[in-house]
Amino acid sequence: MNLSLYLESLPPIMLSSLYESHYTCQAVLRTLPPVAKQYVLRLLYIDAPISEGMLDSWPSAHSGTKHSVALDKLLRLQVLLQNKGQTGEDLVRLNPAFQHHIRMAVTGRADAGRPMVDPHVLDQAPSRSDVDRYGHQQWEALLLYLAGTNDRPPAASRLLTAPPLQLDRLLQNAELMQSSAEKGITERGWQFLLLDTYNQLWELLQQYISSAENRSGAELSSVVSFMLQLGFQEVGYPTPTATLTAQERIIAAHMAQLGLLLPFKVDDEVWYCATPLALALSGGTSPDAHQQVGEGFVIVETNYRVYAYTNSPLQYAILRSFVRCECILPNLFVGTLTRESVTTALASGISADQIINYLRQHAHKHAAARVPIVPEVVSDQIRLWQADTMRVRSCEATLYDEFESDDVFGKAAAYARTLMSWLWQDTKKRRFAAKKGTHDQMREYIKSIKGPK
Amino acid sequence: MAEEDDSSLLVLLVETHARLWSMLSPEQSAGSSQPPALSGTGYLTQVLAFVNTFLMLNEANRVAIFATDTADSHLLYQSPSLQNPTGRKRPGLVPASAAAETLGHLVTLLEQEPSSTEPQPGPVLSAALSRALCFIHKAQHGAAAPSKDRPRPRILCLHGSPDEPSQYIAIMNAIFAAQKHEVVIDACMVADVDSAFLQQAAHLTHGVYLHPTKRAALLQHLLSVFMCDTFSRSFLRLPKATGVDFRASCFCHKRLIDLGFVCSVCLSIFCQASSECTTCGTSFVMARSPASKRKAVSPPS
Repeated sequence: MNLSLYLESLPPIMLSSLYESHYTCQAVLRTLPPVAKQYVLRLLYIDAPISEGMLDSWPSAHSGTKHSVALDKLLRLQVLLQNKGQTGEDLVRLNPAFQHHIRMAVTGRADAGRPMVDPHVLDQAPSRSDVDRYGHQQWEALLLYLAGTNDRPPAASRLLTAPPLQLDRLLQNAELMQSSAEKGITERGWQFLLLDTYNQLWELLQQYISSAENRSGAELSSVVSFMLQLGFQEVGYPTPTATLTAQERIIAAHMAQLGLLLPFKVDDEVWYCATPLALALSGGTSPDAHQQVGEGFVIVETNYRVYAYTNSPLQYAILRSFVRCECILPNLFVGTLTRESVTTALASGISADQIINYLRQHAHKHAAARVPIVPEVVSDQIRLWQADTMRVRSCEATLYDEFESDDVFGKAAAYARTLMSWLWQDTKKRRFAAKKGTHDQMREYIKSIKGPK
Repeated sequence: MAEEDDSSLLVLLVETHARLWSMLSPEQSAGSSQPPALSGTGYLTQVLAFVNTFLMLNEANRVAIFATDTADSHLLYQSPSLQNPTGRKRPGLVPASAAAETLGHLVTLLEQEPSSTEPQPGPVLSAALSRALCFIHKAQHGAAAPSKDRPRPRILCLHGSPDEPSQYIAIMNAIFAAQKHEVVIDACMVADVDSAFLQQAAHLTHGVYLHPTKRAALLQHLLSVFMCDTFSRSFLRLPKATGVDFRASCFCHKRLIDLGFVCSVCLSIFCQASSECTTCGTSFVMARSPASKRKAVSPPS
């Protein structure tokens, strides 16, 4: 899940109101595929619509599907607008609002409104490590609450007063938490825990945005642009809350609870700054942004041993779901990936790829320099264990037999193959099986080839 | 994610010295049919807009800007993460935009420039190229990220002056070093002349050499050609060089030559026949007349 997929799912009117904010425009530009970015830049200073034929002449011969993928993305995001020219040819142009905001950003006028901050506020602002710690602590508290290890959700900030965030409802709407009274974690919830922070954030924020939308439709664009604006701020750079609108203040309070921003007080005035988590909002697809969010700690060895340098109960809980724990030292979790532990995890709905991705994404920085990060023997074995659980596949089928000649049998079997429904055949005994869904077509066909005789 | 990664490390070599300004805006007679020339301020504004756009495209993009003048190359700006890859930035530092910082440095630089009227040598392109390569090397090897996650390096030269044949050897060495480290060298000529050295540089490192015809629209050229990262290049049609000037300059008199003498041992190039190679000291046995030994300097490839 990411920003552009979310925006694509929005109705057109909503989308055009979002392009009124230059932060949204910049974030959208960043999430575009590389080739699409180049197209936008080429069109940036062209005011008149140009023909689609011109656009089609840009890619090189071996660009494959990149060109059509890029165009499709641009059209779906309404960055590129299509219309018919006077002579009936297809014309395209950039979305004027989008074009305007990107031009502003290019010439550096977009940031002109950012106020300078007094040096004494800067002196009293929390240090970078404090900001990092806060973001980390809030997000971990949330995940622990979800995993059921903590009874209480992350604490809301006392500096920003707002109606409290209904975290339970948010998690339940995202189908991460059971809606019954005991608030247990769902199967999807476990999968969610295995995702990397960026994807977790987006999944939850998307839920937050749509619930805000349900409260009142007009909020959507302000919610999205506020959040994206947060993503473009320098981590730890103070911004006054005094300039926020009432609505933004509420969102800010909620984001502070989720750990995306850190509020603090200087001389009776409340300021806030973005945490590294917020970076994930503005594009954030690069490995750099992933690194910013958290340090890795897992080392996997070729003998299936897993060492995790962590003391977080959350990570213990996650690791225990697919690793057999052998011992826990003050800063280290030692375990082994066994057939038993992995198949239990697979049975509870976690896939092999999710396990491998988790191990890869949280790799310790020394292990991350290795290629591949997770030893191939281990990742292959995990996939094999998964394949083992799916050795037998059942499929509803129809058996065709008692064919009168090899010719009819051969034709019928070939027809089943063209219908993609062929499953098995025994040429000696002239019988074959095909999927049940195509039985009517098969019957018609067999009748027709038998007919002329 | 890795196969769609378009982050790059761009080192921009901008030529800035008094002579270039006068080359950019030649005295125009009224009513001339020439296309509008690029003014000095127009040049800088468009380059800064290009830098802004580059930084906006991908948050992992890194840029370093060097000013090349007649005596030295100066670092005007580098992305914060390049300055100190391991340590964290001091908290509460006011973030200056790339454009503001570059301009600030440039102004102090231009104020320092001696305003002598005597003819000055051309800009030190060779030194600037070498420095850019050192900078890239340092940035790539100091980074904590594993090698596949590092942004791909690229050098873009915005150049206006004619070639200085005396820099031939140094430039060729820089080009071969760039080739070896897979650093792409792009060149955009902003004034009237073509540069044989940069044509060869772009040719050998698979970069793009462009001499825009409408120079006032520099930004459009920069955006549509030079913004293209090395990843997207394989999917887009970019301007191809129409002809590359492969002429070399001789080692003895630093003259550009079409035909010359090549030492069979060290491949040094000379414009005159001699009995001994001045580079490696090999003595040539003159069995036949020197004219029959004369052969064309093959393009270095």
